Amino acid sequence: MADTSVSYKCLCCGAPLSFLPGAEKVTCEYCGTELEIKTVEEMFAKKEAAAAQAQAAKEAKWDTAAAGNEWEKEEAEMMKAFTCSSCGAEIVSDGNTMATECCYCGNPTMLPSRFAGMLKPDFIIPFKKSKEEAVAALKKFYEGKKLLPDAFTANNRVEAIQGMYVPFWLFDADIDAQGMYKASRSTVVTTEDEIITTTEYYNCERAGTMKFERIPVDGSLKMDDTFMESIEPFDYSEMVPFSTAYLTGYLADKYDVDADAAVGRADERVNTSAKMCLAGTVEGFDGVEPTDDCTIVKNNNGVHYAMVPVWILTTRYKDEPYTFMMNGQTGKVVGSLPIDYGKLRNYSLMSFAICAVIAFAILYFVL
Amino acid sequence: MKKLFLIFTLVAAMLLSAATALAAVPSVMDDAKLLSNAERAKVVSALQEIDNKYNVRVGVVTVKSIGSQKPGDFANQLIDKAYNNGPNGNMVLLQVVDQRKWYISTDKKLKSVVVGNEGVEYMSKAFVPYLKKNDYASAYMVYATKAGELLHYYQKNGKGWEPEKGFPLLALVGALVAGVAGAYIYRGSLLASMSNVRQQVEANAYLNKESFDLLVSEDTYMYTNVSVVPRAKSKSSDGSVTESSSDDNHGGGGGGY
Repeated sequence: MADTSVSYKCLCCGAPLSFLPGAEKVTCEYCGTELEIKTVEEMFAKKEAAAAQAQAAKEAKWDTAAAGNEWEKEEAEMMKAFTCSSCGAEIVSDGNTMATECCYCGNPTMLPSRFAGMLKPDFIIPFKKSKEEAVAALKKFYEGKKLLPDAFTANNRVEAIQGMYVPFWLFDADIDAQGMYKASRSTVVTTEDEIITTTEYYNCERAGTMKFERIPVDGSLKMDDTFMESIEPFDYSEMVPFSTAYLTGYLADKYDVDADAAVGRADERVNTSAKMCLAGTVEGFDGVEPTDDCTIVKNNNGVHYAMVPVWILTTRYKDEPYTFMMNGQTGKVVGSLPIDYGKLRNYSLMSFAICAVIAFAILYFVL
Repeated sequence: MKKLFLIFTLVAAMLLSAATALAAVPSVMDDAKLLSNAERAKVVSALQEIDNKYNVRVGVVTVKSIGSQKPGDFANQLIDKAYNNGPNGNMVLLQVVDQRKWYISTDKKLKSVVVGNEGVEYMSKAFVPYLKKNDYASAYMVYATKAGELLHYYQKNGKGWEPEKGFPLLALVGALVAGVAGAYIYRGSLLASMSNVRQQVEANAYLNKESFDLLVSEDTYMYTNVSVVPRAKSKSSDGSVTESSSDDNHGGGGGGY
């Protein structure tokens, strides 16, 4: 049977190739051979095409056999089997996986058939942070967290850690914005008997143009949007044209939220920022309130498709999974930690006592 | 103005000449004619009793006006020039009718007996209500009684009178409120520190700052709103001490009625 997946293997020793974080070339971890990204791409392009054809043939047979059986069509689409080119085992993945590793031999595996029928990413931000750095960053993330249960830090070990390229849409927009603001300016005069406050109200009209560049919106349903927004920002100066060579050694999903579906989230953020930007020009007043009369018009929209690096770390506490994510480029860790409510109570009581004693001491002498 | 100055000069001359001419100035010098003879005798008797008991000279002086002079300065002069022969100290209550002001001045000895504003207020809060009702005789009798109490306290305890602080309920309530507020804020900050997963609401990080071009900037006046809030009334007429001419040689304080 023809291989339906492709492993990037060293031409020198045959060991699996991985893209090492921060490197500019694909390096064999076993014999040290360094290969240019372009060389790797060309070298395996034909293998990928063959693997895609083999998978297409296999899927055709599988689809026929599956028709009318217990699997729903959508379920069948979601679960697809590939043959590992290294050990021959069948790898089952969901319909969006572009790169993974064999669960039997650990071999980094590309699934080229998944590249077909989808947009090729324009850019990729390569991993800069290694797995070890991700684990160290997570430990540092725990530091100074007063409510963290002692058992969590004492017995904690990372249960799973995966480097993953997450599909993102990057939106560019030239904006024409117009807004109305109600502003006020007050003067206070104090006489012997009364305090007179005179407040003048103004209608402030502002309009301007501005440009937003590469607002990221998560293109994967699998990834929590709030997590993905929390690991922002990315340094786009290190973004490079996409190459599958960067995917080797990591998981990678193709997008399952298309650009049209993602544009709403970008619009919300652009509108908020445009209003804030205009409001910042209403100066010389004591108070500024936006009115509902605000218009945002987008011109020259542009969308790019990019893959961004994310480390996903999973740990477990009291049978509950806790997931943390780290920006694979900047090292920013995000996540929610378990809370020791006994500590929360103690700290609350302690802060209450300290504040009350200090306040009592002050008030006793003042009153 | 000339008339006022003339009155002031006459009063001052009368008081000062009396002080120098006589061995002992009367305990009550009612220049403003606020007391009947019977009332005056009653007050004098009460003040003399204190004099005899504590060897302290306690006086009451009423004047219609002191011109532009401060009651405190005028009262201090009375202590220096008129009421200065008490073996254990001197104290005088001055009432200025046209200003509706009172002032208690003490000499250096009694300064440590009538300690600060608290001691003066202990007396004034008792007699000022009578001044406000123009019941001057009662006011002076209360003044004499309270002065006696302060002197008795000093004689008994060897230190100046200080107000007894009751249970500070207001401070306790304030402390509890501050404690709850402090704990609430600290608790919130602790909880917030346990998660940094937050949705982004804006895209400021992706705004090209140099691209911003403000095309319209027009401020149009709409209307003016004026609010008037009455100020809290001064406590000067409730017997509180609102002014003081205290110095190294004089104690005391005064206020309005």
